[in-house]
Amino acid sequence: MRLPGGFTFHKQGDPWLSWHYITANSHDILTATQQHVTLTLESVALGLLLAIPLSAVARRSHWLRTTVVNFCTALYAVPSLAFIVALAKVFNLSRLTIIIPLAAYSLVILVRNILTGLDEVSAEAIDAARGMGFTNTRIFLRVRLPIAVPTIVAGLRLAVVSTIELVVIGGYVAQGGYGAKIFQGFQNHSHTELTTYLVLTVLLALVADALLLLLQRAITPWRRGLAAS
Amino acid sequence: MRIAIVTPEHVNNSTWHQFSTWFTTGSNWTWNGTNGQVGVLHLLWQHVWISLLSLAICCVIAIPLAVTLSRWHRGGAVVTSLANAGRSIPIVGVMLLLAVGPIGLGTEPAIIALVIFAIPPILTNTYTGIREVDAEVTQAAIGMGMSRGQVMRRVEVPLAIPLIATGVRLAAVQIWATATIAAIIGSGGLGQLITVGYATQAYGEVYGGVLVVAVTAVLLDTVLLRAQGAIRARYGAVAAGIAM
Repeated sequence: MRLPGGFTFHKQGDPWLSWHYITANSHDILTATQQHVTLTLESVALGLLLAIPLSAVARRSHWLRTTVVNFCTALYAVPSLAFIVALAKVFNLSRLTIIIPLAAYSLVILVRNILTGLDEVSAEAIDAARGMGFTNTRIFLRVRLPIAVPTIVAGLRLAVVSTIELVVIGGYVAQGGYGAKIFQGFQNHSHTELTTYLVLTVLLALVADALLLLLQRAITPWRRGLAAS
Repeated sequence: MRIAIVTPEHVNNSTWHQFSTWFTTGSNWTWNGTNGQVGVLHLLWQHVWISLLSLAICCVIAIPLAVTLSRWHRGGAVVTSLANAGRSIPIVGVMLLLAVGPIGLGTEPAIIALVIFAIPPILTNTYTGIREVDAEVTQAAIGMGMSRGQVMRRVEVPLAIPLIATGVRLAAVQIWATATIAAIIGSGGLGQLITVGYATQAYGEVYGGVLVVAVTAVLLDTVLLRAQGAIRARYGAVAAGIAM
């Protein structure tokens, strides 16, 4: 299948989209996809690793909660270009240049959803569990956490989708993935390369979103039939 | 253990030294700048101008669109899919795409991209705000003889103001942050300190730019959050009063 010549009103042989380009460069596309997925997963994993202790601290008191949430919001307000270029020299253009900022951006979603999820348990449910002789740890693990899981996974879903989009800016500081190809296409004035990888980024985000929705349903079977959240 | 001997040469080449030199050079902060480089004041003005223009265009498109969609039974689906699309399309990619397209480099592709991506927050919040207006309130307004247009202008939109304000705040913060990235495609603005500095390995300028960009972004976020609180306090009370 070949799209009818693409829209070749610019340069001959440089259509906005071409099936031929995709088949001819399938190896590059696979490598870039793998890099993009790896960078996304590493960033969100680091984000989650930081979000858990931060949420635990935030639950200690009202003041700490406000401080932690405000801190995450302020981090999120820092423009990505500034954050990433600032780390480019510090980490000598290693992967951390992009993983740290993206992890920081995912915090605002993850911490908020962890806190909201853990707060969703009704006081009656806690009282009932206590009446049944549950210890505090057991209440947390058997009552609070299971009820919080859907909200936490929903946060994870949002974080993954927005991180996939944000990884693209890594192309500016010599990071791999679709971003590198998009910036390369921009520098070489190659429409085909730029649009192909742009479309791939959107497709990856959609696929990740769908997969995480399935995960969300699979780990919360009792929610089946209820409205999706 | 070897002890590094810090010679004056090392000190002069350190990033910190470059940064402090850049920071304390007064002419960097003026309009005209130093050595043919545009000054911070000029870049700040460009940044404000691009952001305000984008935000204005965005409001003009998104608010009437939300009002129209709120009257249509499938409006909710349209709003949700636009919001999801905005979340999964990389804005950097779109900017670069517009720049290699017929429009070329410069401020125009930047403003187009900024407007497109700031529509979802305003659209979603305005739509929700209008849909959340109590049906009894609109019924009462209709009972008083208001036309549908009057109900929209005098009842539904005013009651939605707290949420519209939330949407405009989110859009403004996002536009300010993303306008930084637009420097890559030659739109000017504060991001230019970072892009030009990075391209010429002038790390003093890069870190100066990072500082200015980060501080203004966080400041804008804080100020707008306060402003939104004030609007909520004022219009939220009106809303509560009418709803009673």
